[in-house]
Amino acid sequence: MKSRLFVGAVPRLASVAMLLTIWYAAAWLPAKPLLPPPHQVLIYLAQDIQKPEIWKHLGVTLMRIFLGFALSMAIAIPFGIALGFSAFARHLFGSWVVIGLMIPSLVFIILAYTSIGLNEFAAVVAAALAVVWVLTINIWESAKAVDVKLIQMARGFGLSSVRIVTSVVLPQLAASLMASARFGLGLVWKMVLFVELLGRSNGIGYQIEYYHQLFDLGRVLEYTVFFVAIMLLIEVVVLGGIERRLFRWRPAARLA
Amino acid sequence: MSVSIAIRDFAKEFQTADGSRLRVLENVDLQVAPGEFVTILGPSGCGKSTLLNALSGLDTSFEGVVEIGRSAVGAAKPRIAYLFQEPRLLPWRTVRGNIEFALDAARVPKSEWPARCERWLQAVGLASFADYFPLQLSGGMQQRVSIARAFSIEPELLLMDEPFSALDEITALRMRQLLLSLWEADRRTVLFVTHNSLESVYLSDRIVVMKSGPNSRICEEIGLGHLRRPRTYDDPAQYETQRAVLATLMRYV
Ligand SMILES: Nc1ncnc2c1ncn2[C@@H]1O[C@H](COP(=O)(O)OP(=O)(O)O)[C@@H](O)[C@H]1O
Ligand SMILES: [Mg+2]
Repeated sequence: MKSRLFVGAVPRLASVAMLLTIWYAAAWLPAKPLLPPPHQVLIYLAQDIQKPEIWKHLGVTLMRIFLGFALSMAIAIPFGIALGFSAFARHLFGSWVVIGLMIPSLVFIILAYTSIGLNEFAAVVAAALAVVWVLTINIWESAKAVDVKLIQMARGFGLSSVRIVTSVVLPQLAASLMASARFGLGLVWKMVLFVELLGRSNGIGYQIEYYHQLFDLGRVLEYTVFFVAIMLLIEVVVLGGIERRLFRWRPAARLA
Repeated sequence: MSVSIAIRDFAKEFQTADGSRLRVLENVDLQVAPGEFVTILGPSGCGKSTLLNALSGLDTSFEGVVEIGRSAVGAAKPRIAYLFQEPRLLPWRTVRGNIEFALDAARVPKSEWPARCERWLQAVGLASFADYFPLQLSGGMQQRVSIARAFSIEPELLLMDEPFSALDEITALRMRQLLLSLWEADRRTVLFVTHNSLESVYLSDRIVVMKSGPNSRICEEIGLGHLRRPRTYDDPAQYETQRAVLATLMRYV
């Protein structure tokens, strides 16, 4: 019990305490404070979450994240799998993916806004374009890692080809697709803030930029803390929960 | 029910990376009687797995004749179980789920599944682990599951490709005992592949020795009818035989 306390609770509490100390130190520097103190940010937050505005901004941002994420996964899954299994697809599209990965996200966002227009659709396309390349590579890697030895085993026992796809290949891909999905969501939500800042007039990213213009660092941090907390909740509770249910068979290390 | 095996004039070529052809096996001839335990002993890379793949039907592009037959004519395709060096369990299925996977693939009626799972997990000493996932078990336990899986379909032919060579020595010794005790109950035909001469003597009725490749073939047969069954590890006759087998093997590597 005692040892568990020391590997679990104690270092975690220490880590929070250290973070707060550093933050307060930065807030109470004698010469020029770098940041507003944490309790100030929390007070802002406590006030604002009782008003509808912050939730409206959260709503539009979450919708953009969801659509951008869905669009990028819808492209990355078939392409990633094709690249993993077919040399033809590799020759055809392999270099595209590598080049796409090299292009700065900013370029995709500007391209989407200028060619489609400053609208919702462009925002979603921009977010998807910024992340689809690295997602494709991620899924490509997992498709390569499908274990042919298990396929051989199944054939050895006389399983039909269709059944081999459904009960041996797809379950293996599911595990890595889930990992890719979490990874992709993490990328998209950061990109969406950027997209909002560059061409939308609502959403968390827009609000952060707005308060930045007013030099209101307290509000900037308030929105940041709020958004990170919400995304953490989605990531850990929702996606983590799904993953734990689907992949009970994996050793506990993956669940961290 | 067991089957016989006849391999005649078998040859196999691979296309290598640089485009040339590598003739791995040539003039391979082997007969195995129903219920016989035959071991193919040969150095690594001589083509033992290649031969088993042809027998199992995983590979169909070879030269020569491979026949798996049974005494009663007109019967369906023989039931084959294949054991590999690695357990090759589906990690997302439980131990029971893995056995059911094989039963399903081998088209065993669903009504028989519970009894078969129970029986063969019992036989390998893992009855209380039926609901565990493979990654929660040790390597030796996983290999025992794969043995249970192989026996559960009641195969007429068991192909085993170095199933114990990745295990530590103590575990491997126990597993060989376990394998023999299961096998002696109803003597299915076994073709066992290894590069371990001790293992080959302990287990089999007959050893065939392959030379190192390329163009490998079976160049010697050693009958072990003089060794009594059930086999024990402390039989001095086995050690004598093993020395002779090792000497034979060394002539062909
Ligand atoms: N798919 C393949 N393509 C090319 N060469 C192969 C292939 N499979 C096996 N070989 C070659 O055939 C030889 C025999 O391989 P294998 O049957 O695995 O040997 P063993 O099981 O006796 O160790 C080796 O030289 C190996 O490199
Ligand atoms: Mg081999």
